[in-house]
Amino acid sequence: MRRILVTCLIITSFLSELQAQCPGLDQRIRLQCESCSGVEVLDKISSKTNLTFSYSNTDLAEWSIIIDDRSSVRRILTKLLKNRGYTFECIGSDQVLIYRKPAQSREFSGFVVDEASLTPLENVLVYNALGQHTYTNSDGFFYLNEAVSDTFYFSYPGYLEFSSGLIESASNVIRLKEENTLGEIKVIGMDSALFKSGRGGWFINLDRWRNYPSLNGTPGITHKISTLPGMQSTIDVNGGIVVRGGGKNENLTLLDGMEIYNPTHMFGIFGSISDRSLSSVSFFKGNAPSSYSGRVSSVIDMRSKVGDFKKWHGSLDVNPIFGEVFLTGPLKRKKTSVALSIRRSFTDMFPVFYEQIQDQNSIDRFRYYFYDTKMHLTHRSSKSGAIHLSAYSGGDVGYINQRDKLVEELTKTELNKDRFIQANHGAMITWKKRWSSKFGTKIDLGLTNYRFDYVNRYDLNLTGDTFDYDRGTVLGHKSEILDYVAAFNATGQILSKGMWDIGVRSTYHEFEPNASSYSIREKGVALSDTVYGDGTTDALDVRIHAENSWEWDKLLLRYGASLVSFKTDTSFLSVQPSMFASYRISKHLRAHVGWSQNVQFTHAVPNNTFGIPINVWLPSTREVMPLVTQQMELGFHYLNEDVLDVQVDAYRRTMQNAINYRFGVFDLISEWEEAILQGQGRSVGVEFMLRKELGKLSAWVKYVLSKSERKYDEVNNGDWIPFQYDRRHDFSTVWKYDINSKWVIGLTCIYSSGHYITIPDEQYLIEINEQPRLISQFGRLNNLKIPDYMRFDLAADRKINSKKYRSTLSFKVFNILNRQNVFYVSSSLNANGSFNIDPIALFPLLPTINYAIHF
Amino acid sequence: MPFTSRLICFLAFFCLLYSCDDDFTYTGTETDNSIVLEGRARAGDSIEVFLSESKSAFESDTTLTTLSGAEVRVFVNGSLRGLLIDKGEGHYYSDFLVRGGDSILIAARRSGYRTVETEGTVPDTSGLVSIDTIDLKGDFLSYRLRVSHKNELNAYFLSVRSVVYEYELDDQNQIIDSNLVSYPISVSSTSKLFYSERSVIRSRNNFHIFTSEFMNTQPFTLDLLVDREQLLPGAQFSNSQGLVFHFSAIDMGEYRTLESILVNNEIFGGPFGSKNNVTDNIEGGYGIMHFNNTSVDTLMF
Repeated sequence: MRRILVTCLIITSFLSELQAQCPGLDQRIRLQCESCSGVEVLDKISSKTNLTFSYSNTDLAEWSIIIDDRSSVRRILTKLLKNRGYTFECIGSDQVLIYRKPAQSREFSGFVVDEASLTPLENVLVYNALGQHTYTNSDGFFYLNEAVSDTFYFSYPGYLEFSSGLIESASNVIRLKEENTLGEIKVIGMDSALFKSGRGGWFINLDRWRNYPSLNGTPGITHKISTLPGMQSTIDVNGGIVVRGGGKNENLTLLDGMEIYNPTHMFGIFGSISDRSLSSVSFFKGNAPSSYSGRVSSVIDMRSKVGDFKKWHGSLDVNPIFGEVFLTGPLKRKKTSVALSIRRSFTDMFPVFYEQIQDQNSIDRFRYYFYDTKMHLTHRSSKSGAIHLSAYSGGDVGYINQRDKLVEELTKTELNKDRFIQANHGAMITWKKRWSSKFGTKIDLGLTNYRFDYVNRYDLNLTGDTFDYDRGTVLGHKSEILDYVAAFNATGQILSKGMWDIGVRSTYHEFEPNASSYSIREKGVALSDTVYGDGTTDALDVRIHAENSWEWDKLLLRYGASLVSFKTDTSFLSVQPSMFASYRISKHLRAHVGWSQNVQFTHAVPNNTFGIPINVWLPSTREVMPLVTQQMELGFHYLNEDVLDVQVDAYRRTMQNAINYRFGVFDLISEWEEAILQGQGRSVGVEFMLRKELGKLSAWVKYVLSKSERKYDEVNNGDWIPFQYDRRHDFSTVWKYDINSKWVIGLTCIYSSGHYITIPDEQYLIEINEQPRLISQFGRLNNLKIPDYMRFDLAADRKINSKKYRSTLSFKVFNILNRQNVFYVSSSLNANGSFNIDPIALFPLLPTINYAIHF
Repeated sequence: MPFTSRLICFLAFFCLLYSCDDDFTYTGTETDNSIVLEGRARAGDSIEVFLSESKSAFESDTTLTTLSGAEVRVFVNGSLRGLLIDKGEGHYYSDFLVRGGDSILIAARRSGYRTVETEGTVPDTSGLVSIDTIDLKGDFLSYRLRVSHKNELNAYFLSVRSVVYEYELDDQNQIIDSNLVSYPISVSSTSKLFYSERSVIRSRNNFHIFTSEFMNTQPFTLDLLVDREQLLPGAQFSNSQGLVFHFSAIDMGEYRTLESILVNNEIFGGPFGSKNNVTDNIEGGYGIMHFNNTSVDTLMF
């Protein structure tokens, strides 16, 4: 840790050197002038120094100044401007802004919407020449407590910049007009697909990010953010996200306030929610605002697109894997709108997808598909209030049927059927109301459901002239959660200065953690029909949070806490404080520090051995203690006008009651509370990010050096062991190049150290009822490191615009190196019963094409 | 081209050149071998223990390596009762008998290995009251077992074996050697006991384990069905002379071990599956120790 801090300090010193503030101001000059105007005086100073001056008022030209002085430029300017109601400020290394002192500060607030559709725009930068700035929230609302200039600017990617005078009204609506061409953007840090938001998290502008290369058009949020520092994918392609050494199920994924327990399709290849239907994504790495409590690693907050209030339009995406339709329009003009999206894969419809798999594996029938539908309905109940109804249903369905028939003396028929379903469903109704510029409220009511269901059925039939025998086996796993949610939130200047966010959220969980069934039938008679872990566990989760953010001079401070009560067969009460402070060292350089303590009461036990990881969720009980983490982070962020963006973050996280299966493997027999281990965890790392925009070329490089470990008293002799997703090195780079107005090309490169799985250590032979049995025994956790992961993707987009339609033809080549990255590891037995591991790689070089049309 | 973009180009193309494919082969890591203890403490019988050695999971040679020369101590009801006698080839036995209700701890120590321990209680009684033949017609032979049990949770083991008359013939088809041997066969039941929650698992190797969790009557009855196909001409045990019922009350630790082994054997993994680990009743090593009270009843045809 000490080394990391020293490294950060060195880098800071280096960056600070780059940012020495207007050294010309301290230069001593001799200035003589009789009856000069203010403009002439400034010209004379410019000629003697390397300083340049910016001013907008014409008053300077009318001044009559007599000056004869030998002093520093700073002193001369102070004397010159002091009695004329003006002041100055250095805004670059050699640039000085002259402006009139504001008479007094005032409030400035309002809503920012898209002019064409009247939909609110989130994270619009509202700023003035003095550097005062704020961002709009998800409702497009902004608020500045002490605005000190006459003119403010509104800037948002893809929109024409807008300027406005101060207006004191909560229902003040700023309409931004969309740019047809992507011209040069003037505002610092706003010309890219992602940027750091004021609250310490990240914000992704999805309309922008779509221009970057990806697999098949719209692969999903988790796919995108895994290329950012601190975010790592779990398995090939992206089985999930792990953040700063945490588990993949320690991330809170929200869609309009609904919790999405499984945010991916196809085991991580695609996001479970279509990008087209989303407006933006915010995410936080551990040090999230208090309103997001519930998970310890990160928060991914997705916001649906609000439907167009003026006209109907939509888009259609078609590629070999899926088709997607997005439609939006008014149900009642300027009053009620709806946005709908429907997506379904073609993978079970066209033989090209399943025939090869069937042939290779000698399967009679293999089918797999995924689907998702989403609706977002918005009704404006007043000028500053709206009711939103958001509903989502999505899932993955797969089945394998295998029938073998062998006719000899006896006719032998075998039928093997596998079927799995993994699905999320949810609905949330939200009423938002802004009562004044200083106060707004939000009420949520909803429910969500997650279900994993896997069934394997095997039937054997032997028939002959005098013989008839049949036997059937059914094996199933099931895990389900049903949540009922009610929440109230108030934001504004409630208690004191700064913005307060106060709320309460109550969730009633019904868990069916891990029901496993196993039955055998022989000649129509049930030999066994056993269910393990059947039964539900209910939990009441009540959270009260309060958080304040305020900005004072160069310091931005956010602090808050949530009080959480979680009740199952016992009651837990915890306080989860968080703090984030950001200090502006210079105009381009900020330093930040954050600390938080989080407690997670719902666990998904990692199944880190053979097979595709599945989610088995369970609540904290008497036997299963909640996961407690503490995270500290320190970072620096340098961003200049040329969009050279350098970020360095160091973090350290400690964990108590980190959860794992005893021996790392799924336990079918024990009650789930007996089947798990809880221990300690720690992770430490440094994250670097370099982003640069060079005209038509945009690129970023991320590198993370990190270490994440766990310690369980009962296994591995109680030693610290690498965590399942301890990826020591994690590197990725994303490029985009606009060749011209029609063609865009892109490249994504990802490299990371391999992760760990648990495999058997030992084997032994025993005899039961005179039958020898060879047992493979698991012992040490995470004892096998999978080879490193590497993948390069290429993409090219061709824009085709006609008078009526805009469309894009996308060509993507996934995994251009055709590297066999391990997706999962399977096991098999040799003829003598000894053990074998079989790595399974699913995704070779894959060229694909996607056509998207907007109508 | 500015320095930054040159740097980015260099990094990207360096990665391209570096790219390569790794073969993924794994043969396991060095592990300290453990003692595998397999034994039996049956009421009215001497204690028998068999010691062998575990191997790396990836070891292709799966033959048994027995461990002789170990010190195996036995504690009965908290007091040291004595050492087991080393019979050679990993086989140890006691010169005293075990009684129902005895609480037994066995500790085996041998240089180069961790000491292994196992502890359990020999049930007071097998619980078997009677076995009656109900019906010999149709596809199934039907039997009724009556079992008495205490109020606490009891675990049971049932194995049914076919008694087969085996003989060896000379060139003139004259019997030169003959004897009765038994082979385990499968049985089924229509009893709720066999398919109620957490009550029974049937193995492919013809034995049942179950608990009295759902038995409300005292004594309870268990109706068994034996498929006659197994005993008819053409089947493996066609010359069956009768059936032998082994019915044991077993220690709960043994029950859980057997349950764990059976599930481990039945589930093979697959994309969504994951092998279940065996959790046994041996501390410091592996294996299984049977603590049981057994009744054997033979019904001849």
